[in-house]
Amino acid sequence: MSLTDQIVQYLVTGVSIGAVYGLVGLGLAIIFNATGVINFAQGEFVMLGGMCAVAFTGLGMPLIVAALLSIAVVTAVGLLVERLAIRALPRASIITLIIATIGASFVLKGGAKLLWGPEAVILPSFSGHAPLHIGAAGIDPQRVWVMGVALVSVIGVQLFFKYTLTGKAMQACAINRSAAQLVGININRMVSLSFGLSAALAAIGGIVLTPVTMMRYSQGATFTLTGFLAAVVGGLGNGIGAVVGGIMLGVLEALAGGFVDVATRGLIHSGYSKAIALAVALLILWLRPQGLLGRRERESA
Amino acid sequence: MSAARQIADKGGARWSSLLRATAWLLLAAVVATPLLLGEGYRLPGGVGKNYLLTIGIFTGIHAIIAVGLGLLMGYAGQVSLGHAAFYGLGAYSSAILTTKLGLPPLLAMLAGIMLTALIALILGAPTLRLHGHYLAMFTLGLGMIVQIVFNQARGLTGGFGGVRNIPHLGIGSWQFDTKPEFYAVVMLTLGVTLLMAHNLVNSRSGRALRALHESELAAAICGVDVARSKLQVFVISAVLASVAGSLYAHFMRFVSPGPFGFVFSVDLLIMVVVGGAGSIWGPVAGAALFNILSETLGKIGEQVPWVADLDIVLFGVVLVAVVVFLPRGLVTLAARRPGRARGPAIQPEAQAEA
Amino acid sequence: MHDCAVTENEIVLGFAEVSKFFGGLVALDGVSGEVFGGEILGIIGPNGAGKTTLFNIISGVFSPSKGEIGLGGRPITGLPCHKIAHLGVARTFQNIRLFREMSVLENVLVGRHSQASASLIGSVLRLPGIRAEESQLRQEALAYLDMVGLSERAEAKAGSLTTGQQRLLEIARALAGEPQIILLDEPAAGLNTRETEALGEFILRMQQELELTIVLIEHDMRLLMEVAERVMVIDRGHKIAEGTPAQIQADPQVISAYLGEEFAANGPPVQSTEERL
Repeated sequence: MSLTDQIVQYLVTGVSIGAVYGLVGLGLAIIFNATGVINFAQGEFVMLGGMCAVAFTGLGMPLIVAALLSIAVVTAVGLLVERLAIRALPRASIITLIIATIGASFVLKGGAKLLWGPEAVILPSFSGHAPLHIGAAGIDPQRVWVMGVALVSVIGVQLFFKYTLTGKAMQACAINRSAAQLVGININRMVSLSFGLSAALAAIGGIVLTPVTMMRYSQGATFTLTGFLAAVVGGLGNGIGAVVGGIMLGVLEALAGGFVDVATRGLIHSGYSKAIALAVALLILWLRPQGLLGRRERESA
Repeated sequence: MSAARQIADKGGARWSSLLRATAWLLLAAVVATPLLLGEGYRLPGGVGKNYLLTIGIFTGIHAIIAVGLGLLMGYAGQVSLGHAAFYGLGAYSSAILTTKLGLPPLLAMLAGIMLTALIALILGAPTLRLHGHYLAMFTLGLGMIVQIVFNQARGLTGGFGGVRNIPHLGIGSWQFDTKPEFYAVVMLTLGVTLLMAHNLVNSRSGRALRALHESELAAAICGVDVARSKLQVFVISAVLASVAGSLYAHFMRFVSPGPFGFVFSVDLLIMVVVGGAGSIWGPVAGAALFNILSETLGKIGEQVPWVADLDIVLFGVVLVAVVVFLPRGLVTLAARRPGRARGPAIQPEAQAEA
Repeated sequence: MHDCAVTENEIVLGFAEVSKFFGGLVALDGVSGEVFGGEILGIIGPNGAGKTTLFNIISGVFSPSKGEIGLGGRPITGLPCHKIAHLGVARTFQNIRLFREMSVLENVLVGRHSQASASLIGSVLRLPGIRAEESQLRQEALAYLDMVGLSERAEAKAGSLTTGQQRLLEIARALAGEPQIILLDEPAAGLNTRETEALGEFILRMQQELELTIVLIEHDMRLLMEVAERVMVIDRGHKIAEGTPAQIQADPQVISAYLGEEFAANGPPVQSTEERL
């Protein structure tokens, strides 16, 4: 395989896993903009999406039905988390709310372990395993599914924010809560919606990714952490930034995994790929605290 | 102080000093129990002296970290999601320097402290100048990176297999090689930690911290260097975690990456929040409760397997319940006046600051 | 304590062409002025005129978008709050910002932060000297509380004081830093007539006994016109007038811009000023 083919292969790997980080990051950004809270249960929604899909197909449902049902279930869980961990604390500080979402993530993770056990589960690929060929590079068709579904979801969210009344109301909320309230927008409903929408996005990511990487009850935290960094690197106030940040992290990780060994003559081996991606992310944050696409926060009086 | 007030204070003072003496005695009794228990004696559930000492040692080690994290969260209003990494840096420094270079344990511990303080400075100096929760993100990233290094730098850390045969803790020829001795060392370290934390909170620096916790702007107007104060607490809390890590390494005499991951960072957060950030004793109570609860669940789990799987859910429920019902943690229950503990939990006026 | 006696006519604080933009909003637009040592300068203007923004810029809360600030002849533009505090600028806030959960005495002790030297390490280890410094600090802090008549409440929580007491405590906290200049942002807001009178007397005492330079933003016209020697008027980010209280009350531009609507309704300015009482 030529170097170009290798690069293509790593890029596809990176973009597809990064797309899921991006979906998580996008969800985190939506919740952050509505509430100022970083939802530490976000990665659990990815895990639940994958787990539910496996469980429902196991009951003999066709894939599409299982997927839609899983998204519905996880959305409901997202709404429940908002109701029990956020709305129950109307005057709490942001830190308290963040800790409440950490508590929620524990409940979801532990619940998944009780329901489905500690083993990793897998979902069959959506369209077989015959690799697609770009040049000499073989590409797992499921990764194409991941990228395609993520792209459609992101576009869907953007259209929702731009063209629907509810979407516009959510944006207004993010920009200025009290002003939004003054014009009659129901803030509580918007916060609920942000949790529902974010959970659905994460579930979609989980469902399409499970055939590639399998899914285990304990995997949520990794998605939260990486999705979080993706969102922050891209700029938390900016949904597209989160997706860009996620893809960047995914690609960095894949390329580092593929080439760092050779590039450093074995000094740093491929096991460090994720650490390298994270270090780059932190360095970017250090240089640009507002994120890659974020604007500097306006000073307020 | 006016005469009337002094008289009123005297009556109250007698009561509160009596209460305080009782509390100290009770505490001393609890701390001494595992030491004084006979070898053959069994508490309900078959809990013997050795088991009790082990729980005590872990509680003490966790409490040392939790006290520092409590100062950071309660006074600087910042969250660290990477304290497990500082804990690990201390443990691995002790492990590697004593086994590979043959350094005496105390020197290795000191080296761990310096390394951790340096990393905390590099991480904290730029982030604590910014508003928002950048420290949480950076410590989170650090935690993940350090975990990967522990696993991957096999030449140094032994990778997955870890570092074995770490010597006992000792000063010169005096070895703390029995459990009761080690327990005493941990409790002494915890005691010194608490004393120093108490001194800090009741000093000029501590006042500055409490002030900036209420209003950063007003504190700065009074001449308090807000970023510097926060950085100081952050470094102190990281150093305490490192010391606890060194103790852990010498107690287990074996370290591997497992205990130093994100899960433990969150466990620490639970201890602090459940016990009560912004008080010195809260995190200690949180650490004790956490260890007792997880040991009890483990014990029951030996008989009833599904209970063992319940622990994660239970901790989650406890965490949410505490922030909802006891926003200032368990110490609220011990507060003298019940009405007093009402109000904002970890960071009041956070939003009103702008 | 206050040995930095300044003779009159010496400029202690100056600001030149100071502007502040928030996004597209212009809060201050090229305001210049100076404060003379030992004087009481009043600043008036409608709500949102930029008065508090000027205080925020002088005290280092914001750095100006344009312009320079000088304190005692040295530039302080862009210095952080705590450094400017060390250089001798103290202030109070329009919406009182006390440390409500801390005691009254502790609030003043925080105000004396710059006057103490105990290091963090020293405090943690309780090195000798720390205790002595601490008890001396307490004595001094109590003296400041005495000055505002709050020493009886030294151990009470700051949040439990009445609004009037809180305003006084905030002033005591500011004085504890031994500033050469103090910025008071609407100190009479929320006070009743009697408290306002006492405040006026106290402001004059600060000027005379502590030889302080005072800049005062105030909506209570009687208080302001009584204590201020000079008045500066700010409207929509611009300085529109400056002069003695009498000059300002007669200035047609001020009347139309600032006092406009009320005077239009109530008749001539002097009478109307009286009516506001």
